[in-house]
Formats: sequence, structure tokens, C-alpha cells
Amino acid sequence: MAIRDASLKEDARWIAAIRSGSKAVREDGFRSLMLKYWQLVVVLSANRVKDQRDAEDITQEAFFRAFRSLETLTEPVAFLGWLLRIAQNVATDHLRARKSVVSLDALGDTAPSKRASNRRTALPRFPWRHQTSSFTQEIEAREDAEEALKALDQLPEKYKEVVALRYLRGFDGKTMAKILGEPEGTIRNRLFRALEKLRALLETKRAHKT
Amino acid sequence: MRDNRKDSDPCAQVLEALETRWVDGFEISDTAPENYETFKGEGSVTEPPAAMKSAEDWDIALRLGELHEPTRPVPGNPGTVSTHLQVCSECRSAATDLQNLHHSLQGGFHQLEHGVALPSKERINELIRRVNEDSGVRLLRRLKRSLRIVIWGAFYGFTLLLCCVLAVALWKVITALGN
Repeated sequence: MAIRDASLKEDARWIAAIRSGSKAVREDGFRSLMLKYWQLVVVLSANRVKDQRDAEDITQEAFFRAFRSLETLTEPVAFLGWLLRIAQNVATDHLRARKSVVSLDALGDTAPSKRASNRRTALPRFPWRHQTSSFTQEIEAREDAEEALKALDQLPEKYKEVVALRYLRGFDGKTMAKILGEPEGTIRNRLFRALEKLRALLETKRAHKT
Repeated sequence: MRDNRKDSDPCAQVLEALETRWVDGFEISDTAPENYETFKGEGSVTEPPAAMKSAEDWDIALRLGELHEPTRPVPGNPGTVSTHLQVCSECRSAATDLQNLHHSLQGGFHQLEHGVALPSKERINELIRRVNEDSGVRLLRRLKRSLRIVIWGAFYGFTLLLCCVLAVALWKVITALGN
């Protein structure tokens, strides 16, 4: 827990440096924050827009907006939560824009939609290697991982977010509460509910299989 | 989340303890021990009962159970969660499911994150350039705004003064004509 807190304090230090430092220090701070959270924001955005390249553009825009108005951030330790909210807003705008493009396409001109679908790249598959020796076990582990993520995908956004923060950054309830600016009890309750729903979904799927 | 039934049902309590561990973030290593002997050597654990056939079962019981006792001891069972898991196959199955889910999510997210490349140097520099440019533009905009306020203020002040002077002059003319 102390480590996680240290991570948030480190963010606060970088933000203080960006606000008061020289140009070189500012740029160093921007770079550090980007490298630290880039992958996390891309993964969460990709989960929303279902396209990795779009998710990268969204992440870039989110970082730009966050850095641009860094002076308005009152709680520097809550930088990550703030950044995630911005990314969420950018993703929502993006989806809205995409929806309007799709509805225009539906009027008859299909060329842009084809272009859009060409541009879109699929999310990475999960060639994850569990420490197993046999090929079938590896395939099974991969399938399980995909299934778990698919089930997670069906949960409401707020549940997905806490589970992702847990697994991508290993944050505990207390740290997540700080990041998301919500009471610790609410976060813990959300995790409990997420687990409950995940298990129910996976159980239903398993029952369907058998 | 708790009810009276849970207080008397060790299975419900164990399940709650396991879920709490998950919520609090338990760490389960990715490698299952080759055999339980490894664990026997490390801690003062007893021989696994016959019900626990595989080393994996033993691993789950130890890792989930040993990590933490539930905040309240299981009534009628002064031992640990792992003690209960040794004798209750239903709870052991629930623990295995939970561990599998944990592993699946861990693996899935790990690969998702590692499938995303870090931003290139060019991308970072481009973003920093945009931020710097934007802050310059915003400063200029702010300066422009203050300059505009000053100019309009001066204009209004001057107009007011002119009006006053004209009013006084008019007043003087009227009074002079009256005399």
C-alpha cells in the first residue's frame, strides 16, 4: 500500500515540477507522466472504443488536454483519476462522432465506412503464456483469459474501471479511492459486485457449454 | 453484506474471506508448486489430507488460507481458512474458481498492456510541442484580453469625462444667457 501511495506522491512531485520548473523540467515531467500511464489509458480507452489505434489517438488527446489545464488540478495526487475522466470524455466524444459518421454512411455512401474499417485495427489477441509446458494447457489458459475479459466487457463501466486498475496497476481499494475521488467503501463494494457479476457470467457461460 | 446465517455457516464465512482477499488484492504466484513438499519445507504445515489430491489444491489452500485469516475466526473451527478448505470440497472448488478467475484476469490484462507499445519519442515530442504552443497562445490570448479591457476602459473613461465637460460648458452657457 505504501508503494502505491508513493506512486501517487511521485505524480504530485512531477506535477509540482511542471508547474514551477524551467522548460526542461516541465518537459521532463510531461514525458515521465506519459510513459508511466500511456499503456494504462490506451487499454482502458481501447476497451471503450474497441479499436487500438483510435484508443492511442484518444490517449494522446487526453494527455494533451490534461497537460494543457494542469493548473486547474487541485489535488495533484489524483492526477490519474483526473486523466482517466478526461480520457473517458474524449472517448465518449469520439464514439458520438463515429456514430454520426456511421449514420451518414447508412444513407448510401459506403466508401468512408470501408475506409474507416480498414483503418481500424483489431485489439491484440491474448497470446499470453502461462507457465505451462503443454500446448493445450496454453491454449486453454488463453481461452480462459479471453473469456474472463469478455465477461468483464459486459459489466458496466464503473466495474470495469476498478477491476482494470486492480490488475493493470495493482492498486488497492484505498489507493483507488484516492485516485477516483470516492470513498474507500464504495470502491470495495464495487469490487465485490464486479466479482459477483463476473462469476455469475462465467458460470452461465460454462453452463451453456455443458 | 453480512447476515446472521453467515455467522453460523463456516462455508459462507470462508467464501467471504476469500472474496475479501480478492477485493483487497491477494497475490498468487503464477507458478504452482511441483509438489507440496516444497511447502512443507517452508512452513509448519501438516500433511495434506487424502481429499486433497493434487499439489494445486494444496497450493490454493495454503496460499489463500495462509495469506489471511478472515477477520473473525470461523466458529467451531479454530483453525485457519486453509484448514476448512482441506475438509470442504465445495469451498475448495470455489477457491479454485476464484484463483482461476484471478489468473485469467491477470494474464488477460498483462497481455493487453504488453500489446500496447509505449509512445514513440516523436509522439511525445509532438505532444509537448503542442502543449508548449498552446500555453504560448493562451498567454497571448490572456494578454490580449487584458489589453482590450484597458483600452475599452480608457475609452469609456474618456467619453465620460468628455460628457462631463460638455455638460458643465452647457450649464455655464445656459446660466450666462439667463443673466
